[in-house]
Amino acid sequence: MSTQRDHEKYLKAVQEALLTRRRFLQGTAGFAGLMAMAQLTAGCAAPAAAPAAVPAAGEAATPQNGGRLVFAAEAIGESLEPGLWNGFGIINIVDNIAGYLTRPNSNGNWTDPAEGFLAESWTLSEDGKTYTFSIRPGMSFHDGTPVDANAVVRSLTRQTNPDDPSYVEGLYMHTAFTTGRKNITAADEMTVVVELEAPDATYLYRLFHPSAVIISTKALDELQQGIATNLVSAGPFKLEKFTPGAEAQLVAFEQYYLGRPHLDEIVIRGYPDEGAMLSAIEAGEVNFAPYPPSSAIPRLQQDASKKVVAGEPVVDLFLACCMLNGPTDNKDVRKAINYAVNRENLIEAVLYGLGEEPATLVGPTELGFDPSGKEISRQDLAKAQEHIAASGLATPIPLTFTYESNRFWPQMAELIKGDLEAVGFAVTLDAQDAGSYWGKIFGGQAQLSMNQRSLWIPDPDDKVALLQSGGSGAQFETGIVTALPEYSAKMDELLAAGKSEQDPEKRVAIYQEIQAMILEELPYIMLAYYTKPTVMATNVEGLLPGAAATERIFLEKVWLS
Amino acid sequence: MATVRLSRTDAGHIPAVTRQAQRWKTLVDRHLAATVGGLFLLFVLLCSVAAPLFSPYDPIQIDIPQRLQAPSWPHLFGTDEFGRDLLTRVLYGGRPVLLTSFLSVLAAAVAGTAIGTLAGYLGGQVDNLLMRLIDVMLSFPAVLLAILIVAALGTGVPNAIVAVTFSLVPTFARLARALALSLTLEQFVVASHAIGATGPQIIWRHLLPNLLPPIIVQATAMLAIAVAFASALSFLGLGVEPPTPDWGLMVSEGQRLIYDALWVPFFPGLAITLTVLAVNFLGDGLRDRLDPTLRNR
Repeated sequence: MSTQRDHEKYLKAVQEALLTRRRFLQGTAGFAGLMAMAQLTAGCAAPAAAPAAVPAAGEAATPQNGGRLVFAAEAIGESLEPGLWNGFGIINIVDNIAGYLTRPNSNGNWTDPAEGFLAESWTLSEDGKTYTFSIRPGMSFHDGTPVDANAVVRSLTRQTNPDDPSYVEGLYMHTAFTTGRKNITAADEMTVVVELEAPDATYLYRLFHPSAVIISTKALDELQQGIATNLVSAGPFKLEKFTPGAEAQLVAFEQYYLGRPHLDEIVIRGYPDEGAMLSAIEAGEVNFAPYPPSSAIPRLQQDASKKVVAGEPVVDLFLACCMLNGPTDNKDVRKAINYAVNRENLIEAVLYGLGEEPATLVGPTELGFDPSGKEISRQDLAKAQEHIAASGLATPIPLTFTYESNRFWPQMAELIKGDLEAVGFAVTLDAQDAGSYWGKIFGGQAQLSMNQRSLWIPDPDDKVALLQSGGSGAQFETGIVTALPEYSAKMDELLAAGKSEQDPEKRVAIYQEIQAMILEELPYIMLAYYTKPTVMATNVEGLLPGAAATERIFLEKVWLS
Repeated sequence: MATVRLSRTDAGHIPAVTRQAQRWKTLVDRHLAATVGGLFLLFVLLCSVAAPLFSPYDPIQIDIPQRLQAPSWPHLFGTDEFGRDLLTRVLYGGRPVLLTSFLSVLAAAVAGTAIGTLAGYLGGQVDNLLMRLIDVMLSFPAVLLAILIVAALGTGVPNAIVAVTFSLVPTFARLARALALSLTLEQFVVASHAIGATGPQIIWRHLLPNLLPPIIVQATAMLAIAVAFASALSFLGLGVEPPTPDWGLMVSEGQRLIYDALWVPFFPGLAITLTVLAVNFLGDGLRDRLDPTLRNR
């Protein structure tokens, strides 16, 4: 009997001691509450005082070799094929592996004249149509094979040659360097001759477009389409390992023609989620972050262990109005949209001050910039209402607004939606992942969309070429080729004239005329010139600020102090 | 023999009002967590429904100079990136979440109970067919199923309700079938059969009333899951469209600010957490009250 009673007592004790669901919930609630309050108290505390001043820039330190740079890219795509768009992360990998015929100016000023890379020198014919490039002797690819004229010609023609074993369907980025090219041949083992249809003031810049990578002939023959995961070129770093969709590991190329780069290793890792990227920056997991969330910049500028470099305002943020679809086929609707948007709010609340009020596609540091466009690219609600009335459409005007669901685009969209609805639009937000976004744009299915254009090629042509009739911008993003054929033809003429004109003053006049045309029809409505920031650990030195202002980030001169 | 009339109190009787109060006190003592949970849920519902009465601010009016204000008297929960009062947005933000959760649980309970009861009562091929259908639905993780449905139908509260409903139906169907199977063997059901009651009569008069208590308990448990699902869909951008306030969407928008303005994701996150906990506590209490096997524990 006593045994039975003891057993029951024991069972009761055990039952009481067991963690029941309810006790678990109660405990969790209490614990979560305590933790949350502790966190909130910390979070609401006054911002930390500014750290000790960053050591003043004094005498230049001597670059040291060694070290590992962990680079936070916004995402890593699936393929390294340079002829395909696979996101900024892939461009960052390619730019540090690649050897191009030319390269950006080594003084760091992005818009200064191009310099030779694989091409040691070149001559231009008197009619301005024929370039003769002398390939730099003694250079080799990462696989040890020599860089020669045949490799250059093969690399610069394979993207338009379906018979090339490396060819894949859908290559289109090559238009950056093939447009206007009549012929390219290897005159001898170390000489390449390029004939152009017309003189082209931008051609030397276009030869360092990310799609113009010179790839080892051996790699193209042996790997064929496999170069998409094993790109072999002649740049300062060679690809050690590439994990599609995740990261790439690059190591210093000892035989680089300018000498081994300073860093031993670069890891370029994708952080599609801004929160995860920010955590990695905070935790010191990455020491180089060229796509940080704008919201964190004011605080990171106060962090003694990090430094923030803001580039020049060369990134255009804009709305694209597709004229293939209503209501954006209506000029008054486009003008109403233009006058409705409050750019100051966008720059202040979304870009955290890292931007400038815009004029047109040509930015303030670029040839031919026309500041008078700022008067038009500015909020004016009265004018917006006038154009709504003049559009002849019943209000509210339904409008679908398409944008990518990453970075700051959703915040931009939310503010713009408010502005547009205030003047008589009924906006449906259409957030898409990057692939779906471009599918919709290239399908000509969007009405109002939002995107950016960086100055990858340091010439105003790089931006206004969006309106060139052969491009997807003119055909699908804005649809001006179909909707405004005469306008498009005139634009083509001006674009061709702008490129072929060698006299800078005459070029200025041409690009100002192009800007006036853009402001007249508003296929693109400017939102801001973005001064893209880069966050890095304080010991990261040697970054060329001009290149960092765009997404073209060359790391061969970077070192860790 | 003289009789003395004693007042009820004199006789030790307790007035009805006091008795009622004692009953409530006992109930509250026994089910304190459930009571607190129920009251909190009621409070949240009230706040959401009557949000315009509680807040002096507009939930979507942008006020850039007031952006990212830390919690203070004018803005008890602080302000967000666009200067909107967070308390106001949290109050309004409960509307889509609670609407989605309550309606989807109600719809799932009705549909699931109907499917399960029919399968359990009719048995045979009908049971096989319906349960295989439920098996197919169960083979998808519930959140994934909800995301797939919203991806197919498009975003918005009505589609979110459909999605969450679909993901909850199998649980109710399984439970209702199991209960119906056991109830059909009970003597009162057999007796009803014997006296000539029709199938619909038996289901309506005998099965459903007996199924109801456990289904209600299950519904409260599912309500907590539905709140989490609805918030998750909004967090992923598959719920309401900005700038309409919604707890999940607010957490999503605020996650970038976790190091810089913690209050922005914190308060909507707290609202989700507390609501889910409250529903769970309430569900536990209801289970204790309605489940005879637990009543005396």
